[in-house]
Amino acid sequence: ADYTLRFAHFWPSVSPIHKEVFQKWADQVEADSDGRIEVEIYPGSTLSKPPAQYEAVINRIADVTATVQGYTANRFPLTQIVELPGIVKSAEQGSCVIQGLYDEGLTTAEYDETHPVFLFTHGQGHLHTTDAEIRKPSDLEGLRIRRPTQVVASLLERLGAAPVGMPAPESYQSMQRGVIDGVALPWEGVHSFRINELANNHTEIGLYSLSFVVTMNKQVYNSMPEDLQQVIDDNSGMAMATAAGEMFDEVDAMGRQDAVDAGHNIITLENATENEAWKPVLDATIEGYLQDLEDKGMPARKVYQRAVELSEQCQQQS
Amino acid sequence: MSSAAIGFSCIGLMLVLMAIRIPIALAMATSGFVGFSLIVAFDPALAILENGPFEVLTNYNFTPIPMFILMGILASKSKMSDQLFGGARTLFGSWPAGISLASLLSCGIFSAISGSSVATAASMSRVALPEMRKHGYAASLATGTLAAGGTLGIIIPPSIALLLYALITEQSVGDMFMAGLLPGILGLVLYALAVVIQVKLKPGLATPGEPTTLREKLVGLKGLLPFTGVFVVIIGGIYMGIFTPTEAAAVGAFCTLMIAVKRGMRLEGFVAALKETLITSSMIFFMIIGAEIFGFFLSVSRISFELVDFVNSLDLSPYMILFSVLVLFMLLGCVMDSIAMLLLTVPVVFPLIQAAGFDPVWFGVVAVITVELGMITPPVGMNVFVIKAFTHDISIGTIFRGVFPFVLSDLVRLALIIAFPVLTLGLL
Amino acid sequence: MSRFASIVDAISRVMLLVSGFMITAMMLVVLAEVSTRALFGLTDGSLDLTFNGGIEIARFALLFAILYALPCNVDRSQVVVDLFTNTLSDRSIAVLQSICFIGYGLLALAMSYRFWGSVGHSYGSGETTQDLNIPMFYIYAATLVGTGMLCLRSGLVAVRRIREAIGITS
Ligand code: NA
Ligand code: NA
Repeated sequence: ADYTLRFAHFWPSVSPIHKEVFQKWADQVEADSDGRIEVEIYPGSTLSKPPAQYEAVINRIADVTATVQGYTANRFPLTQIVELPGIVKSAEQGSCVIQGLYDEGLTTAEYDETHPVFLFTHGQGHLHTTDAEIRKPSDLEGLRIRRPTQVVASLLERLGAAPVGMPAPESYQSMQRGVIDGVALPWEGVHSFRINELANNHTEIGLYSLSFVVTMNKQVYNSMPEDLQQVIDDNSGMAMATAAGEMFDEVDAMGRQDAVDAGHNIITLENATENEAWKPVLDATIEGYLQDLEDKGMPARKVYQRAVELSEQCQQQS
Repeated sequence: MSSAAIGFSCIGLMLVLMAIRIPIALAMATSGFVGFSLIVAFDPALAILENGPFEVLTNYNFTPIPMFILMGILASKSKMSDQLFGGARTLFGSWPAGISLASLLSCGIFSAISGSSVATAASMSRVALPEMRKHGYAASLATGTLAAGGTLGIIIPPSIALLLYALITEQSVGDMFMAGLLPGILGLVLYALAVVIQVKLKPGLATPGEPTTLREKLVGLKGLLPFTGVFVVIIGGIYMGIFTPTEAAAVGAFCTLMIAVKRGMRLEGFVAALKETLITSSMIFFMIIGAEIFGFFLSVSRISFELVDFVNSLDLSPYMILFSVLVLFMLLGCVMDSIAMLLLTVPVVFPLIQAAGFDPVWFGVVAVITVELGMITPPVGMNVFVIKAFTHDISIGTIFRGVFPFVLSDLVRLALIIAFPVLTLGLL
Repeated sequence: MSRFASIVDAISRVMLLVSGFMITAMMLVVLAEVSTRALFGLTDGSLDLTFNGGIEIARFALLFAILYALPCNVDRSQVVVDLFTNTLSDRSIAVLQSICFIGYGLLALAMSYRFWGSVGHSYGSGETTQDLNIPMFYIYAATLVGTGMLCLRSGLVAVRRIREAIGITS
């Protein structure tokens, strides 16, 4: 092969996202380039640990990575607007929104150090608790919940819960012993971290989502001849983004099915952002995030406005 | 040269550097850097010198290591450990190698707190090694006991390794932990047997204790109280859900500090304890950083993939597949960190094992025990290196020699677990 | 030279003091996190003294505890395999050791070069730590101090060992 791309990510190699999205991408790129590009995947953080993976691509420790924008805090503040409650309805739709914002140039500047291939989100993040039933905001008072992001942490605080920071894999043990009363995760995360073994109550509320990016070292991309750049381009953008989203939706469904089969208590709050009990708290969180960015001189409201529109459009498409 | 060829050459380079007395940390970092720049390029290799240390030193999972070391040092400065082992000595009376047995038991209990064997070896060594030396135990027996005892940490729950295995292979974490319990206890029993047999064969290894009366034994129990108290707080706190195993180290260090203060420790003594903690922690983190840099290189060399592909191509019977996978683990374990190895190899060998019809939970326990063997086998045995960090007058060779009987007993354990799957799956 | 040496040694000792402070801080912060959370749970949330960023403080306390201890401890904190070199003379060992410290010095120099780059990159980039929003610029700059001092002190120790080796001529 003329080019060997080392592709590092943190999902285990048995995960559907590795097998059905990244491996397929690698195979497609190899096939489209007649083997002139070879892709070596390093799953399970074996080439670089999650917080440093974006940095690893800039430094060419890896040539390609799939990582979470939020791991490098405040580097992608406009992109992370899609993580606010109410934007993401499903992983496929969310991926359409985040890729749409990028394609329209609203978030492009945040990625000027690398060459993004595609962006996606996971599905809606919900609350999963051992004993507590959560129907209304006051049910959260006094609960210790593992928080996935800083935005969710401020949200939980507003609701009277104590956000607890800990590495995601540690949540299982902590929930088992009662260090925490619950977690905020999408059903996919419930499935991969085996939270259904411990959580009996699930409140589908759509508190947040996470953004992901698959991105490539800029110099490596630029050094490729035009026909090979074309191969990468053909395997970039919206089609890949929604394919990744679809995969997450499938795993979400699996995680939910596990809970249904186990006879768990599942409470579904449709459109929590419009629900009068939850709306004030969610709105305050959204407002806080946007105002903070506006104060720093970023066009946060403009991006949010467009994200809301795209959220509608993408919902109708999917 | 192919990546794999560079891979093997740089492993060779690392071993040569170690053999000519280059510090382990430096040998790993240098050969990792050279290998990475040969396979990838010079600039990215420079970058791993930044990412490697930064990843290690900001890794939350490593925060308990200095805390446990501080706890051990405070315990020994405040004479808690003297009392503990004094108590153990009267309790075991004229039993052969009473302190070794007491250390093993402590390692076993400690394993239930810490998920990592380096942390177990480090904290127990600080407490137990001086005691065994003081009472005339041979250096090889004393260090071997602790290096091996440390490996109990990985399998007696909670265990980072079993947790990772469960998440990688989509097994129930609860099942995985239950499955590790009996093999962990079996390991403890076999280690104790290894100690007793050694001392029977070579009585010079440990000075026999004085026979003690029942009354003396009961009085001796008192000595166990302070240290056991801290243990009870730690374990109780974890099981009652007051803190996580990662946080337990800091709580333990704080409780020990309080006892030390009550026994007259003042600022000066605490500062001295901190200094000692920092010297040992520096040693251990120098090595972890070196291993991390070397790990970057091992990953891009793709050696583990090549070896697994090779095994896969042989077209073997189920038990031969299992056998070759375990041999592979032992070989890789000679040069690799055990967690990194699980992450790299389990996803690749797991389908093979499943296709051969083995139980996935059972295989997880077998795999983790085998991988953990690598922590105490030459030439690269992290537990042995960590214990070396606590001694000035004992050579690495002596420690590896002392560990040998325990390696044998681990092989016996593996054979038992493979022959009788009920040992693993019985509690499920 | 000797003036320079004593300054480097003195700074290393001050950094060791910072390390000790970091270890203590790590212990106390975890303790505070655990006890406020327990209190929150016991009182069903009515007594909420919990705070944000405990994990982050512990992580960065580890970083600086170890990093700032390395310059002072580089000559005491090495584990070597002594299987095959028992017969070496003191002089050869001193020579070998000075080579090792030059090696550490070079390694630390390369790290400093890289962290220097990160200091530049992170300046004004707005990137911060996750929970406490501390600009990464400060973190990298403080890290650079650690690796820079490790480089200086390793060099210094190497020179001392070479002098020792020359001294052991008889
Ligand atoms: Na354990
Ligand atoms: Na080994």
